[in-house]
Amino acid sequence: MKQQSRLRRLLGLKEKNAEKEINDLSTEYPETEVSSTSSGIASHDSSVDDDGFQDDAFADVRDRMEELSARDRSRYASHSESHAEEELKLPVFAAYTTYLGYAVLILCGHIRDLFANIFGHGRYLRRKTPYSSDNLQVFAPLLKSWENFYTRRLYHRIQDCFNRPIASSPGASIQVLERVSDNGTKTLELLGTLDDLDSDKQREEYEKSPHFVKVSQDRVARNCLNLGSYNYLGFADDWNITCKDEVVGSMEDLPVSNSSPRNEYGTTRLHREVEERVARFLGKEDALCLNMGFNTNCTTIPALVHRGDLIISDELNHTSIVNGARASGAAIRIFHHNNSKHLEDILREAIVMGRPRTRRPWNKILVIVEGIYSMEGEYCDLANVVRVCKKYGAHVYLDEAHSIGAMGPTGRGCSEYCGVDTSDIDIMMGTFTKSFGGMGGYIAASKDVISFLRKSCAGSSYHNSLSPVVCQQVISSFKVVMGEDGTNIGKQKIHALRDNSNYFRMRLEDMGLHVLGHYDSPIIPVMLYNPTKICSFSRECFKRGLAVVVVGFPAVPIITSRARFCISAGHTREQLDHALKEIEEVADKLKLRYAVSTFG
Amino acid sequence: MLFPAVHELGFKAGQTCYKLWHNAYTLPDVGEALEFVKGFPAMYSIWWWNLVENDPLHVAVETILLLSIIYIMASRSTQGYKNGKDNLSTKETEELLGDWKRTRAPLAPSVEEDGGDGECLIVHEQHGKMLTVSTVNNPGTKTKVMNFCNFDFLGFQTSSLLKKASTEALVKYGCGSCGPRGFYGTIDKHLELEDTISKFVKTDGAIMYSDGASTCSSTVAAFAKRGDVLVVDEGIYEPLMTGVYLSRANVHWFKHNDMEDLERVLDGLHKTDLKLGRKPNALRRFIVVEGLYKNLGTIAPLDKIVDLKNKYNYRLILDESFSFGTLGETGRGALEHFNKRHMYDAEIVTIALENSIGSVGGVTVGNEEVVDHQRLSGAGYCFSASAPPFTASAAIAAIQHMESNVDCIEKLQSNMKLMYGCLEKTLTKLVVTSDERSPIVVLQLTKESEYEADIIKGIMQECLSRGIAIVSTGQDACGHLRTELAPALRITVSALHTEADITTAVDVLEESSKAIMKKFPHYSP
Ligand SMILES: Cc1ncc(COP(=O)(O)O)c(C=O)c1O
Repeated sequence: MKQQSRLRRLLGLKEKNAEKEINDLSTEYPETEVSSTSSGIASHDSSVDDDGFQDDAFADVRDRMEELSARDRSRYASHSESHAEEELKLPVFAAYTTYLGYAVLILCGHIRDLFANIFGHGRYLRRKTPYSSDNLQVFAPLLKSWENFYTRRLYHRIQDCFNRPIASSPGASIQVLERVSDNGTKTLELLGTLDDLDSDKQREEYEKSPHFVKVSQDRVARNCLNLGSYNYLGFADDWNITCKDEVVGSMEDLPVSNSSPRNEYGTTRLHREVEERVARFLGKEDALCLNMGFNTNCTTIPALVHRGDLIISDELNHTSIVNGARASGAAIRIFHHNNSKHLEDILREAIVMGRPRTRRPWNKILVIVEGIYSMEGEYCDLANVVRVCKKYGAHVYLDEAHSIGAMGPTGRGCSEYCGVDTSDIDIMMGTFTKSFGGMGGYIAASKDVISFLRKSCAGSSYHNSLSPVVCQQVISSFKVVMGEDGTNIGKQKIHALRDNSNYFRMRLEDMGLHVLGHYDSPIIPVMLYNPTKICSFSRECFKRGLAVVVVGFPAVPIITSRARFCISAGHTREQLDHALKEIEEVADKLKLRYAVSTFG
Repeated sequence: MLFPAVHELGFKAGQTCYKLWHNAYTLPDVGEALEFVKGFPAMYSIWWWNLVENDPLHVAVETILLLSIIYIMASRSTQGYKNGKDNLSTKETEELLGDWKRTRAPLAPSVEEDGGDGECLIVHEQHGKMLTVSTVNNPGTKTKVMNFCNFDFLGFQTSSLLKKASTEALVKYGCGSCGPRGFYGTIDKHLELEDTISKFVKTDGAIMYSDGASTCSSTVAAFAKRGDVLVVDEGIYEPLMTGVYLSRANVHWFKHNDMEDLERVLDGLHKTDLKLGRKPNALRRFIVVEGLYKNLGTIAPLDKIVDLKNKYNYRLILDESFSFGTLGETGRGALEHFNKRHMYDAEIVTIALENSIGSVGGVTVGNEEVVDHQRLSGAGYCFSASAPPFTASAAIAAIQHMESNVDCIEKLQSNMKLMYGCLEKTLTKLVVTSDERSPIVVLQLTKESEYEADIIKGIMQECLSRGIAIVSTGQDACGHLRTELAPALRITVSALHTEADITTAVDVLEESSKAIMKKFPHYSP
């Protein structure tokens, strides 16, 4: 379902002249124009002056960057369907070659399977094992055939692009441990030390690489620029300065972990402090923090809605939301990604028609959206979603996993960025794993909701609470972001993140790559399409000392494979320029310039 | 008489229709047609009376048929909304929308209605077995109490060993891992932990999750899919329950620890298969149990379960979150306790690292296939940031310690013996319902009563005010469990406790229960 509607929008839609649209918009929707300048860009500029950042690293391109960011902001000002169609067109050539690529891969896979069976020799033939459950006469295999085929013949071939282990903090530059495989990347092992290599020639090859480093215990690693971690505010880079003392100090009086739920003995004074701070930061009455962002969604949604309620969810929502919605027993409807018009249609119909078959009215309707969509790099059309929900009386649940700390002039997330009053958002959820370099998730809402959740959400009444050490990490990083540590490090981080992201995005677009998402979002996906380009892009970048993330099916629809850059405040302009230069080379080599040429 | 009339009528009507259809009527023919039309009523009535006279039964049947068709069509038209296309006017629609907005339910009941916060205690300090706590409303008055509440079975939570390991890892890696395992969130510490624990329990591999609860729920949901069969003990705790629910498999329940009932369920399923002619390998089948039941303090009879599972060809999903580090001679869990082996006797085993190990997160251990499968389909593994590296580091330190010193496990087990001995000697108002081998001690009132929950809660608070922290359970606020739990007290035995601690605790418990029951004169045990 999801995939189809997505493809429908990608395929064969009219191309629009963005410039022209903006002009139309600004005359048609004057009030949104005003709000966008008042909350965002203007205050950004003035604060730069206040804090006296004399040397603006991006002075030469500042005007263009601001212009582009304003262009994207105005996109949502129009509450017409047009913005849904604005996306870049899927190049027909790329689409066909992608399908062809998969066809060839699948064919080859089947041929390999066939020969393996004929000759009784192949790395995927089942070895005899002593475990009773491996007797497939009486046990069904754990993986059904297509899943199994996909994993074996497609995923395993490019497995070296994923799960790369690192031996350092996930800051701007990381040390990625080298891995080797003796069975065509079916399994990968850590290389260990150079002495584990067989020949001098191989040893030399590693040593000659400009990115070669040895990490503890002489293990071979590669020094890479990290363009993949969600380290938006760069707390992994300066952790030893900003957070270390307090975090390590927290262990003096409190344990490493709590083996008790929040309702029993799992609430320490630090938990209360985290919650108080989160609530204050977001301007909500109260907050609740739980052990894992994923579980925060999975346990609070079922606590809030039940059978007889309706969940209306964006089609690209994260798995944790999907799991939570499913576990709740409520009815679920899906609206087109970021399309508030479609949301409104669904809402109207749902309210008028009531529940299917019984026709009773819904008890309540919960609309679930995300602040930034992690695979698209787009931020939510929050102003319109909230307007629609308010109009009809639906509740809004906003997952700010990626946007909290990373968006808005003071890092308060998507609501601040979009100029939406947080009191209009019933539930604000977010995680500490990303911008704040910790772990866990929070729910910020009214006193009623939080007090209800404390008692009735499984995460708070059954699951063990957040570790006090992590609580302290969250407190320390919040202090920095809120400027309560007595420095303006937090402010600098937020500005640096925005500038870095916009600069990187602008330059990628200039290169002619097919870039998704909006300006001001730190997630920048670049389309690769062809299955073979997934691994070649990752490997080529890795060779050049860039650690990038590539995403293929099933995380995204099968023909829209992409690379995803996550920019951090910890990156410097030199690092970004270096990365861009290397990416340009790779793009030439792999023919990725789909935005300027059909053939890439 | 009948036949010619019917024939004539039919013939004429047919002819007319044919001509009309083919536009065969020319002008002169119009007269003919008109004649026919004029004569039609007379002919029809002749025909009709003929029919009534000669075949009244036929007429009766047809009339009834006709009437019922009309009735059905008429009644359907009044149910027009069934197809969802009633044409509401704009005004009506707006009214409906407005009505709904006014009457829709709030997201949560208001605090006043709901009786305020469920949570009441704040921990200010924890050193070894001592906690410093206060109530939420009165954070100034702190009291020191002894820990009989957390699952800190081996005393690792505040040990300097773990703190040292954590500090080292924190300084090296920072706190968070800033990404899921797939995308640069795999830190060498995670791999080291997976290695350490799989060697410790002797499996092919292990996979680390960042949260204990999502370990079980993701694992169950990763293996059992729609259409598969899960045979589940009714006493399982909430995370497993969530996994079972999310899997959307066909769930069959058996009574808690009742092996006859398990056999009955398995046998029933087997018979169904035979009846349907289904091959044994058509479906994935799993039995889901906990090694040591968190809510009940009972131990699954794994010897019998393994026999049954082998007989009926099921895979076993075993949660060792509470049995790991507490059961078995060297603390390797319930499997060791029953002399069973990982991978052979239990295919999929989940272990939370939050209890005995005193760290954060959980692991699933099993053979290569089991582990690799989850790396692509464990939801909590793929779609959530990996655990902070310091937690892996702490867990490694704890496991290594367990491996080299079994003292702490022996101490725990001797404390358990002592505790159960004391309880049996001293208690008059409460009964022990947990297993003698379980460090989770569950106590219930001797008699059911409407005051049960209040009494239990009262005893817990009384104990707390006398310096012993225990837990009262039984309020399943979320309705997540399969069976309702009776209100009960839970005491956790730890290796940190001394003999004196345990005897004091039991005395305090007895005194508190006496004191509280005096307040409930209607309850007579
Ligand atoms: C939208 C969204 N919600 C929730 C989560 C889960 O957060 P965590 O990694 O803290 O479990 C993620 C993480 O990727 C996410 O993108």
